[in-house]
Amino acid sequence: MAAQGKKEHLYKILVIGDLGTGKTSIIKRYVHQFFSPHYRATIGVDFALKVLNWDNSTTIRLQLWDIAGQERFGNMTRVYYKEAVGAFVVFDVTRLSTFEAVQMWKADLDNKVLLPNGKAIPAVLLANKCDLASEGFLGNINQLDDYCREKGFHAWFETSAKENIGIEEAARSLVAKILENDETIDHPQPDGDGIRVGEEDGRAPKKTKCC
Amino acid sequence: MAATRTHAQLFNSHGFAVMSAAEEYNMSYEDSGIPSVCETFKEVLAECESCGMRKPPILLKKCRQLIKVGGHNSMRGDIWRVFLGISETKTRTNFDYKGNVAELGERLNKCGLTESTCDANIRRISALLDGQYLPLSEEDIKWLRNARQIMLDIGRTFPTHRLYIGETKEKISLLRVLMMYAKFNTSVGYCQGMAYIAALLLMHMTNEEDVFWSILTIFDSEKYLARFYDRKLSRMQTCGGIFSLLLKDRQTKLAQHLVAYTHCMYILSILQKRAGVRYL
Repeated sequence: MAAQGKKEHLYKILVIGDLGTGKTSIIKRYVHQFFSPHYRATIGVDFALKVLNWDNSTTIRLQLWDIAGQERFGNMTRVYYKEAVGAFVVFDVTRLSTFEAVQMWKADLDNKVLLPNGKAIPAVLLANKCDLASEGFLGNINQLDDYCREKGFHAWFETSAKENIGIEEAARSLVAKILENDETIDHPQPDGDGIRVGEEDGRAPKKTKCC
Repeated sequence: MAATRTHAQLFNSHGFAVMSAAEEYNMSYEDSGIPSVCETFKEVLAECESCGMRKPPILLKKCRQLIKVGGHNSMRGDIWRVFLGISETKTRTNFDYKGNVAELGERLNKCGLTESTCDANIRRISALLDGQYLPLSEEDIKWLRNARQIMLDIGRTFPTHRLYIGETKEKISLLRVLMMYAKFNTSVGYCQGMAYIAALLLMHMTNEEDVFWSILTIFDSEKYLARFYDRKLSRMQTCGGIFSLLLKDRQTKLAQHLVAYTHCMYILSILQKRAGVRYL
């Protein structure tokens, strides 16, 4: 467990947005420092863990939930969203329809998950594929400031998983907000003890029948 | 690293690109088949096929024995075809595959698109959907969205397998069979996850149309994955529920841990990814 005086936090963060906006690529870049144009389609959900040494006395584990963008998986988002404390909502700057869907994703989020104090969880908007921005529809990108205020986003960042732009900054911004929330709210944390598979209370594993 | 055809490539016996020296070291070379076993298997399968869905136990026993012997790798596609009973599916359903494929080509053409899943094609669909070229009917929009989704997923289905690196004819087949299934069963359409199953079948079946009839059989029959991919993912949710109850009963602590840390959704990804494999 935590070293003397050292604080550890485990935070669940959602990464949502339309299909093909680059959610998986952003996570790959952030967690594994790599980008590949050949990644797999996310089916259901994938997980990744990022450990941050936030400062000398704080270690943060970010559990990133990479959620399939296809509409029909939306039936299950309530379960996915449970107990999340932050979210990235991703759109693709080269595709207007993915930006239009941002509202839908944000509303879905606010409907299905709240912080223990009843407030919306902090969400950061990511304008991804900004390396292709010349093909993009965002004329005056500063309008996004107004948009974020209006829709209740904590902040927005231009990102590129390919060129490694903006992702670290976006994550720091979200984590700072989560920490700030955490100090004001009492969180029930899941039991931190690991589990030893096949071992129950130190006894030999129970024999199980198999059909 | 991304796999491209420009690199000198090594592929393992399953056709996947070998990415590291360690992997190369562990490469096994399976024979594609022992000729005599394959010959016998062919005869048995022909007999099986003539019996339709009611295969006599003696033939099934023979098949089991032959599978145990091994050396029938190249027969996999034929075995699946016969045991899925695709000729029955074919006669039961009145769907003109070739005619519909031709129609698909024409429709894509009319929109200035091809059957390729390359970026330029996908970008053009996005532009069409953003209303940049033609006025679109509601039906067109639905169709284009579906095509776009399938094309996007094909580019990320087994991206390191030799059949799916670069612009290959197998990618075009994959597009066709998935578009055709979505056309055949409009209430289900295309669901993420289907592409993997179709792509796996294509690795072993040389005839594209056989792959179409196979996925149709798998996705629509109660025995396999019916209602697994419908718009509510209804059967997947049921299976997920059953699995979590079983886990709670057999591995209580593990179940508690998974619920505490990941809630129930690990089940979904397990089921989705394993669903096809279980039957193939």
